[in-house]
Amino acid sequence: MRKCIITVASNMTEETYNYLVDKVKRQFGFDLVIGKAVDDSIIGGFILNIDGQIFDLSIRTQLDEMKRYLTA
Amino acid sequence: MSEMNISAFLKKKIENFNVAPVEYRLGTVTRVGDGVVRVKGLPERLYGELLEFGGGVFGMAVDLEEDGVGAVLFDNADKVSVGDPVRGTSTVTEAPVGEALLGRVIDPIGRALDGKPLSVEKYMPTERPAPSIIERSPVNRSLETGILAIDSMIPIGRGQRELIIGDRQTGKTTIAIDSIINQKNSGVLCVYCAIGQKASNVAGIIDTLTKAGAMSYTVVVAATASQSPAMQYLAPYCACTVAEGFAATGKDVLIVYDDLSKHAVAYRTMSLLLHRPPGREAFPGDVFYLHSRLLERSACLSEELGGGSITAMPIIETMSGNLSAYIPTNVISITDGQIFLESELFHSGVRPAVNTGLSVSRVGRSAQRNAMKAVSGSLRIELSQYREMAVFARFGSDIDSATKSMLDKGECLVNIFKQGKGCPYSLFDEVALLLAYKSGKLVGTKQNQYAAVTEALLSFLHEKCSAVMNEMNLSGDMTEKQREEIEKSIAEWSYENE
Repeated sequence: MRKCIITVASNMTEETYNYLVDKVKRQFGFDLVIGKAVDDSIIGGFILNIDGQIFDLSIRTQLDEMKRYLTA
Repeated sequence: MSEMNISAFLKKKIENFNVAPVEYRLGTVTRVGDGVVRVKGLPERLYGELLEFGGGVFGMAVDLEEDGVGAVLFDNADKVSVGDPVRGTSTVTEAPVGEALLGRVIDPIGRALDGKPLSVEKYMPTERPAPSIIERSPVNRSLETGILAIDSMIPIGRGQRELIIGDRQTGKTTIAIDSIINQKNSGVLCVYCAIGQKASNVAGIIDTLTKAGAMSYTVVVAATASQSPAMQYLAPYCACTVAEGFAATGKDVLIVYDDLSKHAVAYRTMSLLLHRPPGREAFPGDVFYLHSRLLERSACLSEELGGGSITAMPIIETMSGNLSAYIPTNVISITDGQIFLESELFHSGVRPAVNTGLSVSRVGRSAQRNAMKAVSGSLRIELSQYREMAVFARFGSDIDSATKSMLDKGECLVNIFKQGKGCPYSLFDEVALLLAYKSGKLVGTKQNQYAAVTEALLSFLHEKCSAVMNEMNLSGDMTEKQREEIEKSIAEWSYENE
């Protein structure tokens, strides 16, 4: 029984969220317990936290990465 | 560049940007105290992994458990609180390597301490296996310290581990620093590792090295006394990795660990806080392994691996000259010899205060240069015979002329070995002084005039035998003809008392 927390921004629709949950379950196995967290500071996109392993696809992080890329 | 061009440039660059998920591993702090942090979560953790806490604070994973990690902090714990996220960096602790480090002062996790930015291309792990038996070659090249007492009677070879051991304030660091200063123009790179020392001391040492022009080939790795025990624990391993980076390119390296006593104490502090069981003198059970795995990494590498070498000069501080304490006996059994410094000798004016009876170099004369080998054969025996005789002479008994001449010669030898701080001798200087001693020319000099006399003699010989000097310093050999020339010049010289 692995725990997964999906962090989304408040502007994500229910439909998109359900689609996302479905995709996550297919990718990582159906024995996941999914929890939802809402955090507006991520601006958009989502962050997956599966028992400590993070997959960060939030817009905030992508902007940080782009900033680093442009100033490198 | 006009405004239009800048935005066009940025647009083009952004087009090349790759949108990809950023993956990392996260844990949560559950307990903080005494520089030790308990982290929950953090999947796929590595032993010895570098962990990043918030606010630029780093730590190292040292206790792997089923549901989390016990970690030691490298920086101050005041920025870390319970519930903070902890990022796994997926790398074990690494040290920077490469020529960019020469002349720099760094801390054990590779951050620059001298205020200038540090850009390094390559990193190597701080814990690395020592060279295997096949990868080594015998130690047969000399590492000159420039200190007559050491180069003649306790010679050090490249790839050897020679321990400098003695009480506090007996000149241990001075020997190490003078050896570093003497490596100028010899192609040997140096690494000085300061463990648990006062920051003011380290600043003074860096100043000494800078003034002597030694910083251009030296790297300083410093973990001073106010830094966490984990930082002090890691410092020598980081310094050894820096040295290995140079040795892998075929260079010879001299590394000084100053000092390993404080290193053992820092490791004890860390282990007791991690609740590891204490053993003798409250040190953890693996304190021998702590030093043996460090010192085994100093070796003379085989030709196939580039022929480089790492010569280690660990320093240990004893209490009241007790060589039989726990840590001193451990390190003595690991190293290939020791230079034993005594406070009695130091305070009676014999500096460097080397006790030649108890000091030994297990590599010995196979690492000496030929010119030195020719003149240094009987010195230890003569010195020990003198010391035995001198005990009797102290009682003021009547002495026959043969004994008196032996005592005079012995006294001359002791005085020749006295050397100033920061004044290394070249090979020619050392050989010339020993030839002068053998000729008996210096016997009868007054006690307080030896320094002036030797200086006058050496400057005379530098002029008179300059060709021989340059040849000998380069090749390390001395032909019969050269020896005769030096002896003749010594005979001609006489000391003018101004």
